[in-house]
Order: sequence, then C-alpha cells, then structure tokens
Amino acid sequence: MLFDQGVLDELWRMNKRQFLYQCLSFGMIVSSALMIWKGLMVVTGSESPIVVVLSGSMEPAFHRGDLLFLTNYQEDPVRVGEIVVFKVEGRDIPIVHRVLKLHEKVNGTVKFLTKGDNNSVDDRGLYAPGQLWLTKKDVVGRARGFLPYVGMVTIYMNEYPKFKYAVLACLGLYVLVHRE
Amino acid sequence: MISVRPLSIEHVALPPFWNRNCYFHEQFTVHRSPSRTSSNRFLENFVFREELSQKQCETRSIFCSRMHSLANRSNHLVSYTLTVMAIITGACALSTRFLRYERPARVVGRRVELHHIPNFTTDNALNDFAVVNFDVKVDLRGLFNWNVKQLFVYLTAEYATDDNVFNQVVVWDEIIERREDALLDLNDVASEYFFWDDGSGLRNRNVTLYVSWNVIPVAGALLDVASPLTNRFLFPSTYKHVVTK
Repeated sequence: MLFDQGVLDELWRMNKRQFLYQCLSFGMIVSSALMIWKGLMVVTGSESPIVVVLSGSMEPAFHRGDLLFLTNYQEDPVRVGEIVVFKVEGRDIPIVHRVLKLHEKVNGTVKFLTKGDNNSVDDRGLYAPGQLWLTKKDVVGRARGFLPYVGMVTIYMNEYPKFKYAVLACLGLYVLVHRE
Repeated sequence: MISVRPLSIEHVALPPFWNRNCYFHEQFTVHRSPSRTSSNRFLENFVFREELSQKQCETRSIFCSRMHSLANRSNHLVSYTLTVMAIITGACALSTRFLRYERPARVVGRRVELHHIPNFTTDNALNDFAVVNFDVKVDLRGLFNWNVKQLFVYLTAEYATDDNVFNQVVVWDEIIERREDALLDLNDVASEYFFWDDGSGLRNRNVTLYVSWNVIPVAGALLDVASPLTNRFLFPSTYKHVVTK
C-alpha cells in the first residue's frame, strides 16, 4: 500500500530532467560529506579526525558510543596525561588510552606507554608481541574534543547491517522522491 | 455589530514549521485567483486549498502529501528535536569554553629512594627504580560547573638523564567525579605506578613533581591544565638496594 500510488505517482510525475536533478542533488550530498571528511583530515592532520569510542576502558570519562575529535599536529609534542588514539600492529581497531610514561631522546624520538583509565594495568599486554613502547608513528591522533552518545548510531549500523541498509534506503528514497 | 467569521478548524493548519512540505507543493495550489491580497496570500500558507478524495488522501498521506501524515510528523519532530539538542549542546560547550581552570596545587616529595634492580615490566635489564612518597594539597572544587563531567588529576615526575633529554612518569592519578571529592589533601602517599627510569640515570638528578588535571566536559573541548607550583629535588647519589647480575 505504501508504494502502490503515493510514491510511484510522485516518481511518475517527474520528467527525466527532474529525475536527473534529484540524482545530482543526491550526489552532491554524498560528495559534500566526503569533502568535509577529507577537509577535516587536512585541517587536523589526523588520518581519522573523528572516532567513536567502542570500549569501556576509559570510563568514566568516555563511554561506548561517545565521539572524540582528534588532531595530530606533528609540531606539538606528545606529553603525559594526554589521551591518544593509536594503532597496534595486528589490531584493526585503534585504541583510545592515556599516556602514562614518556621518554624522549636528544634526536627527538619519543617512546611512551599508555594505560586506560578504567584498566588496572598498562597497555603492554595490548601491544604487538614484544612491543614495549609506542612511538609517534603509531599515533592516529590526540583527543581534543568530546561529544557524548552521538557515535551510538554508527555502532548500531556496524552491528546491524540491515539497519544500515534500511537507513540508506530511506535516505536515498527521500532525496529522490522529495521535491522542494 | 462586527461579525467575526472564524476559520473553521479543518481549514486551518498547524504553524508553518509543520507544513513546510505541503502547501507550496504545486499539487495543492490550484487556480490561483489573479486578485489576491497580501493577507489572502498569507492565509494561503495555512489554508488547505484542494479537496482531495478520501482515497487519494489515504494513499498520499503516507509519504509527503499532507501535514497530518505520520511520515511528515515524525520527520519534523525528529529534525526539530535534533536541532534543539544540537543548539543546546553547542551552547553548553561554548558557555565554559573561556573559563580558566588553573589552580595552585602544592606538592612535596618525601622519602626518595633509589634502587638498581631488574626491570620486570620490560626486558629484565638492570634499571633505576625510584620510590617517591609525596604530599598533595589542592582545592579543585571551584572547577566543577555544569559542563564538567570529571577531572582526571595526575602527578607527574619530570627529569632529564644522559640517555633521554626529557622524561615524564606519572606516579599517581585520581578520577574525581563530584565537587565534594575535589578537595585533595594527601600526606606521605606512596606512588601508585612504578617509577622506572629508561636506563640507569637517576642518581644525582633533579626531578620536578607537579600536579596536572585533564578536564573532561559533558560536551566540548578536552583541556589539560598543569599547576604552576612544582617541587624540585635531587635524587640521592647512592642506591639503597642493588642487584648485580
């Protein structure tokens, strides 16, 4: 009943030009989202400027589903107490933890150790086998801003692919059918 | 007598934000009369112009036809709610953006000992291990406002050795979630984390202790603030305990 007259009528009424225009505006939305993301990468210097917290290892500061805004400027140094997002070899998902110890050599190479606020031990057990320290190249970004709950949407989308496709289909249909 | 003729209820729509989609839609604006007054034109925004058959109404009402449709109402409700929440969150973040979170935190290091023992946390090489007890006195109650979720307070030991020009070791931290808990007065507390040097360069070295805090907001910028007060002292020149391999 949903599609038999109402929506199809709308589509039918449009001529070819209008339909193309709608497709174009849909493409505009997608490409502007991509542009914003890539633009943020340039501005923040981080390969993923916005991350979603997936675990409770930083509770009560960050909970699952919270959003973090990262920067990764090479000129500002890593210091103890900072919340860094880092990648470990063999793990797909980056980790958000706090820097606990740091040693810097004369030539500027830094090695540091991290720990989650809610963990009782440091992260050496999470690093790659044999890895004792993190270095700058492991860092994806440093947390600079915080927004609660918003990331739950992406968590649901990842956990329930059907939900993701439903949302995408609804958005696509809305953009194509909707006429201003 | 002035007779006021009220518009009957089925001809009046909800305020404009409810009906954005419908009334500018060509499907509903039939046969505009050439002699429209401005008030008439204004009313057209609110008046349902076309009589649709019952069947048409039912089928079209699902998507984007009428203001009363479920899709329309939920769409507007959701977008309105999200807009309001985004504005409130932004205002909350902005309201505390320019506050100063610096406070003086008094810190004193006590009972400093050095040991030269195998570092069991890394590769069992002989490293310097420091024992530092400390006093901390700081009143952070004034930092709490509606946009502070928690404070992460930590004590840093900063020093330089021959191997490393810059070293930082966190020896103690505390998570404070309530204003009542934010008055810290610690006396002769043992360090919470191991104080290992990366090598064996702690003897006769200056070390600086200072308290910092990381302000976690409800929404907004994450701030790191260090106390301007520090405590600088010298590590002893001898080991208390030496393990020889």
